[in-house]
Amino acid sequence: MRTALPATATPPAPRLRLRLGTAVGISVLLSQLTSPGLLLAACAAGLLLALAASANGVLPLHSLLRRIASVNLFVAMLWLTLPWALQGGGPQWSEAGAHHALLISLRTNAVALGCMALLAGLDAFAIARAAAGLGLPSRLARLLVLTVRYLGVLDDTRRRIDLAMRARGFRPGANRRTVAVLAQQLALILVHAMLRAERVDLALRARAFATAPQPATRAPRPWRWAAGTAALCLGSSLLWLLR
Amino acid sequence: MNAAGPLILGRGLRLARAGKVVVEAFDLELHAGERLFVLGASGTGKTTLLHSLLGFVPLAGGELQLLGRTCRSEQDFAPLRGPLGLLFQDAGDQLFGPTVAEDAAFGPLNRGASAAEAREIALQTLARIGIAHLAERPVHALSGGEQRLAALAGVLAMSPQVLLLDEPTTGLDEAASERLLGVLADSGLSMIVASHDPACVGALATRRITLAPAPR
Repeated sequence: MRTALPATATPPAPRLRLRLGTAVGISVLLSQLTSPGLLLAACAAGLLLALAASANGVLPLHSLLRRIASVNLFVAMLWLTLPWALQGGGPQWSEAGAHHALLISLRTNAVALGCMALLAGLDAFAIARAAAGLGLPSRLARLLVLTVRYLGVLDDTRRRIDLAMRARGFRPGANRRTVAVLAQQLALILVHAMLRAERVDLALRARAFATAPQPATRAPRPWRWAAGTAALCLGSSLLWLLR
Repeated sequence: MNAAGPLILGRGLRLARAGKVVVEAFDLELHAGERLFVLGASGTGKTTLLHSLLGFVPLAGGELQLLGRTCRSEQDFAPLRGPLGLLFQDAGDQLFGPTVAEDAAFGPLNRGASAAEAREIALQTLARIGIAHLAERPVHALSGGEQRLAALAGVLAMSPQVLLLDEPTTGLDEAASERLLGVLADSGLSMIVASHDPACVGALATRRITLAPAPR
């Protein structure tokens, strides 16, 4: 996940808070609407605003289209399940389910487009700052920033490992070795993440950051811990696929 | 594969990083036995150049021949990852296996060796560069110098014809640096080295070229 957004000057704090507050308010309002016509109009308005942000150069068009596609991938999953009722003769079309799916689809798109337009060009740091200004506990705001930051770091790690694997002739295929190598890659990302966390912890403590006393128990060795976690993830995925 | 001509031949290379051209109209030639040093200030595209030779950075212009083959697409570059071995700037990024021996076996396994053959190649390579005692050590428990040697073992285990080395001695102490330079000199391989380290340049270079900043 990339956290870098188009280089725009960060707006002043009151305007940031106003934009975030408006986005939250509109989202709550839209979530209460039950008329498909009104929701459709909200979608159209959101799309116009998002396109206007794109035309202003705040939100690149390809970025906007990619985000709309991501949202609608989730919406498509809804349509695979919600309009169907399981009865004696197998799955049957349900009008009530379809109506719910339609409302959720329209609400999701309207809220997403509204947020994209209102929060265009703001990075996670600006949003967290605005959220803290609106009363979000500072610990949660910091957690939001760290989550976004470290998702980016994990993705960088994954890309570097991927490059190193390709440099040594690894070409993924539909075979057991590829599965084993990918599990190994996942384990390695976790090891890197844990070692980085240890370094960050040291850096925090070096600057007098006080943490709770550590328990006296001996931590598992990083490699085993990561390999165990990776095996658990893979095992769960396989169970889910084979259920 | 390429008896007479240069191992690497680039003409008018143009390379971009994050949409910005960093190398423009650059000619590159590496002959058998040469140890070519690419010099230049930070940001002039040394790493980008090395990565482009493995196809990780697509050419924005120019012609490139590696081991006698013209390379343009992923299909052209993929079989050459092995014959051309890249040592990354940060060895921690490169080490992949749980232990040093398993890491060194990764490349041979990718080239179709059996598990036993790959392990044998790995152990021989580790012994050749004097780190056989590290074979069963977890890669994350190595010192900086040991990591660099282990990463080099992973590259050498694929029997490369050309080494591409990105700042191989950066961050190493004098002893680790001397040891690594000794291994590289003894390998007898042709290599392209991007380095700032005068000791490294003095010990290995047979020829030097300088990358100038691309014109704005």
